[in-house]
Amino acid sequence: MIDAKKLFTSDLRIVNLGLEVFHDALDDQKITNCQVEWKPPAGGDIRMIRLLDSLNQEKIDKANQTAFERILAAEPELVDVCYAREVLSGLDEFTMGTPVRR
Amino acid sequence: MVQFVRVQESTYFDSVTLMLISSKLAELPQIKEAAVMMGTDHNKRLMLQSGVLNEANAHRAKPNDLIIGILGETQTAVEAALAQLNVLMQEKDTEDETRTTPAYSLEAACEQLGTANFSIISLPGAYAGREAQKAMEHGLHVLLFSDNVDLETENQLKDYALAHGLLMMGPDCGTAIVNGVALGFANRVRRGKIGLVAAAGTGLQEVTTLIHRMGGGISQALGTGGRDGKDAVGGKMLLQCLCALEQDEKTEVIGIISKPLGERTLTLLQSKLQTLQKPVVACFLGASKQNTGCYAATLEEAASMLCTLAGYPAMLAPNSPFPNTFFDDRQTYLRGLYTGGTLCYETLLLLKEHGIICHSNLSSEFSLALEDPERSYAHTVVDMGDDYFTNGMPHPMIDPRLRSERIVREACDPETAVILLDCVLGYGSNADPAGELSKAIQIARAARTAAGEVVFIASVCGTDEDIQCLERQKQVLQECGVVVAESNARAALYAAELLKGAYRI
Repeated sequence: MIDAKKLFTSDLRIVNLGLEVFHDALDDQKITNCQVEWKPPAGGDIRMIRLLDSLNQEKIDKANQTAFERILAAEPELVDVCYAREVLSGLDEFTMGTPVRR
Repeated sequence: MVQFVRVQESTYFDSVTLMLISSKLAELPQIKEAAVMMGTDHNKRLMLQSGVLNEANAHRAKPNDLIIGILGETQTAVEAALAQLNVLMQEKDTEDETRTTPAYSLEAACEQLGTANFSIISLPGAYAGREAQKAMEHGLHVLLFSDNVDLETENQLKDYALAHGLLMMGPDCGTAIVNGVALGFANRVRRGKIGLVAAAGTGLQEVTTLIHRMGGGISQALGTGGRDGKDAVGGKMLLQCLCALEQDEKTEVIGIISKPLGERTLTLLQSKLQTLQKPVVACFLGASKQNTGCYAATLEEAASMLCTLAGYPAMLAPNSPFPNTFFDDRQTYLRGLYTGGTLCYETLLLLKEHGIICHSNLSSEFSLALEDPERSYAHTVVDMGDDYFTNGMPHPMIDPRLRSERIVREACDPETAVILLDCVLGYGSNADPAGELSKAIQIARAARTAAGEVVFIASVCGTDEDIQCLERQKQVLQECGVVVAESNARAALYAAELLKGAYRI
């Protein structure tokens, strides 16, 4: 059920996605609004958009959070300075950071 | 002939902006065709067909690339068009730059606004459903203007909205007025006691503006998109909106407007109307006659019944005097050229009641199919806002060119007696629709060589508060000899009477 009292007594604050004539109309009525500079996601590839949408965002957020917490929890200590590829396996001169599987 | 094609990678503009730019380029001298479009498969096909694109570039361009295609008679003409294009694009850029920091996503826009509570979505149909879903997940009510959103998506969106207490107006919802704010194609009207819900876009525009002109006012005017009234959706949002209006303290009288409803949906709505806690008027165009008192036969009647219930004067200006008309013997047919779908529908319905059965591209129980939308046959009333005409072209309410050309063609037909028109004002519409009509009518009159004069009849849907101003628009039409009726229904009845009762030479 719509909370009619809340909806019909609030000032509208509007996000406009698409035709700019509607944004102009809202400006003309002095209504707070924001025009989105929208572009088709994933280069407009509908299949790719579906794939991206099917990713479990909650799981990804949780994993990122865990990783971030581990970084924060660690106490780094400087032991030496050297090339990453000399001390981490799987790196070559072109890749920086964690190993990339090809 | 010189062909110019350029693909600009990752450059996005909305379709209305691009269509307006395209039509400005096409009007330049010695330019045969010009199209500036996003590289979707559909657009690429259109451009290949019209000869402004070649296979190699078609293959290369992706959906978020901009394609510029120009076909000109000389190199100089093409270069002049390109220079003009640069000017138009730059104007657009400066316009954009005057804005504050742009938001590149719905999420960013919500953040910028702080407490957003509403969204208008008019993106291409294939992407629109996804953004509407996201908007609702952010707690926003949605007006979904886009068409070409499939039925399954519509049902999913509306089910989500019902479960979360949100308004999901559309897909294909053109008009709404919420808390006095005109959204989409809508008119400026007085605020007041009458709440409306409609599955009929221009129907809502006609009723809101007539109520205003009768001295009344609108509390809320909610749209649902035409398909909501079909059994495949089952009036979900119509019912939701009725409940919302029932709870709204400022709404004292409720009106519901729709084009033909599905059988089950009609029954569902009728039982809801019987238990509604507030007085109600229903205008279900095309539904068989109801015997209860709350059913209106036309949009004007709905407006007038609502005003009476709400204690407003309910008076419209009287009809202007009927012109003395002398038709030639061959002038037997009526031709209607409409920009508003619901208005077109109402006209077909009323003409049928007066024994005039028309051919139309709009399928209904009251008309015969028009085989080729481009060619009128006997009595014909055309909905020029139909997909057939808007595919790759701006809607005729925005860009009047297609209708203007058609007016001239119809007026040159020796068999044409009456041309019936609508003229829709308000946000989103052309800046001077009556001026455009009057230009076309003057050209049409000059071009007619057949015997007898064609009578032009029009109604103007709008108010004195609209940016185009009702009175000024009516005056422009009257000055060029158009019979201006106070409502669409009256215009249709005028036409019917004129055809039946006119003197013959």
